[in-house]
Amino acid sequence: MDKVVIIDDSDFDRKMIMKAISSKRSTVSFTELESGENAADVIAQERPKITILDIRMPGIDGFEVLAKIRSNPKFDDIPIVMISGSEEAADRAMATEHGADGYYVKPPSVAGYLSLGQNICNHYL
Amino acid sequence: MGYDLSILDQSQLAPFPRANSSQESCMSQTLNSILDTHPDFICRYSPSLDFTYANLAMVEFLGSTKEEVIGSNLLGWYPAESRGNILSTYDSITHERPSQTLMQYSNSKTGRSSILWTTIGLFEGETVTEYQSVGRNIGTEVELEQKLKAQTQTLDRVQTELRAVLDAVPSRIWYKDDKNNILRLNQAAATSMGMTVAEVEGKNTYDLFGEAAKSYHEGDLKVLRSGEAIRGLIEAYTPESGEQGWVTTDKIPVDDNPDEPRILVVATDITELKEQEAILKSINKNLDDFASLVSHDLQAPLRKIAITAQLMELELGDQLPKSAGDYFKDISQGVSHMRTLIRSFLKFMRASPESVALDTVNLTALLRKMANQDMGEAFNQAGGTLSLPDNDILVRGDMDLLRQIFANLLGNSIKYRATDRPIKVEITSKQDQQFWAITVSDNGTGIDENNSEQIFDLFGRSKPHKDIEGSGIGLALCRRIITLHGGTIELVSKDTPGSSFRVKLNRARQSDG
Repeated sequence: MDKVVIIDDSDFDRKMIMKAISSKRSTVSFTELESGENAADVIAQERPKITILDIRMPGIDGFEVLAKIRSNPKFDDIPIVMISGSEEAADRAMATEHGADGYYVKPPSVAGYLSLGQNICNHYL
Repeated sequence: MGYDLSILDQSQLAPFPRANSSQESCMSQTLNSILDTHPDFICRYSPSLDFTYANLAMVEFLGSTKEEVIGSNLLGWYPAESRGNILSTYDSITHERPSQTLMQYSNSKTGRSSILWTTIGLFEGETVTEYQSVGRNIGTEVELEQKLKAQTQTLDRVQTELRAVLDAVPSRIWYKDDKNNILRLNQAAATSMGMTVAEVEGKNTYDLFGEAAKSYHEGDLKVLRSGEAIRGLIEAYTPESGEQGWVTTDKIPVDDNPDEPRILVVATDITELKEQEAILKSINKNLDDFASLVSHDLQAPLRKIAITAQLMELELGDQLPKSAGDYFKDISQGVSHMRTLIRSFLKFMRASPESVALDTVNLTALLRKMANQDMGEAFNQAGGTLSLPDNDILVRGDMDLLRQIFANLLGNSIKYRATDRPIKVEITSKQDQQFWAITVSDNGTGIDENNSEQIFDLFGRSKPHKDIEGSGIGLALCRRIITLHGGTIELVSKDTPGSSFRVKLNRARQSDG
């Protein structure tokens, strides 16, 4: 089973991401985190094939979590993609700057989520 | 008047030496030729003031000849109004007390006016006693002194005026030398130091402020050494009483004399501006936070509504009555409209001077490009025509934002088209010294002229358009962007049906590159 870690404070968005990926690939197990506080420990333990990280979260935001993970060389081989409700170019640029492997805008439709799931499967799983 | 009497040689008043008649005649000729070379005016008069002798300098001064002068009466050479004074001067002369006097002389022959400093004494001859005078034209000296006095007065007045001007300037001004001496300062500068102008002028800054003056002095020396002015140096200051303030300082070297370096220091209090800047920053931060909220936090629940409705339709559609399909459609339309509103509002919020990158834009080329892409497609689909100007319209603007403006105006023409005729949009242009005026006219449903300003308000729409989706932000955004370009947009009246918008944008200059 390919492991995927999803860090997002929104239950709905976590559910949609899991639904989208599962619809394209059945051999995936998910670990859900609603904040980035223990992200490094969980990633160290799970060694996922991909981590999907929301940007705007209460407390520690996605950029801080990303910076923390990327500061540890032992996670260099783990792809981290950022996902956000924001369409702002500045967020995309900042994600790249912080060492993210990809950036997705949360889709406003079911079709959009299915496309996102397909894209993640093609590139990372 | 304080004239310098030393300019005259008193020995010239000594009596001429005596001799026998032949010797006298010979000596007299010799003496006359010597006296003729003397630059002073030397003459003798009889007691009745007839010339008995005049040297060449005197004769030339009178603009006459020896023959004409010798034997003539002295008074005849002076204006009538001066004669009384002359007579009384000569009457008062004794052997013991020669007269030294200043005389204004106007020569009626030459038209010259001169000032003579004359020493008159008595010459005791064998048979007669005569007057002897030695004079010098000191007109030039007097004129120079009068000029000097006038210039001194002018200088005094200029200094008074300069002081008044300096003291009227709200900025603080110091004029210093390289030793940190304050040579001049204005009232505002003295007040900022808690002193008077008189207390500070001429003092050394180290004497006034001790070591605290060092950093200012070092800054001054840096400017003097480089010869380059430093402008807009923003510094905090704390007065002896009161709160901390801010000044922007210019330090300008005055290099008219390399041996005496001088520096002009001009400081303007910007405390109020700084406070306003802090308030503005706080407002902008709030606006940014709000924009972020709009961008993310409002979109999230909207997305949730849209997706949940779609999932319901996909997963439960078969179990719901047929009418549920219409409800799902309404939800989808509502969400779509809300999303458009949020996006437009975000654009409006984000339009700021920093967001405008001005460059030279060929608007005609931009409009042609739009007509060949999406906009042309939209016109084709709506069965309309779009007519563009042939001439190049070179404006100073931000290409992306200008595209947004004209996409909005052309989009409105399509959106608010009349149902009984095909859309026809014409873009024309006209230029004056500063602006290009671009007019976008259509034959659509038109806008009530009473709402010509309201339509540019945020959420201001001219009339209810039940079937046409609009955010009410488009024209407000257009006006905001055009204002940021230094231009204007207005609704102009039109004889034929439809609406007409005139956009004025600054013409691109050759120097704009």
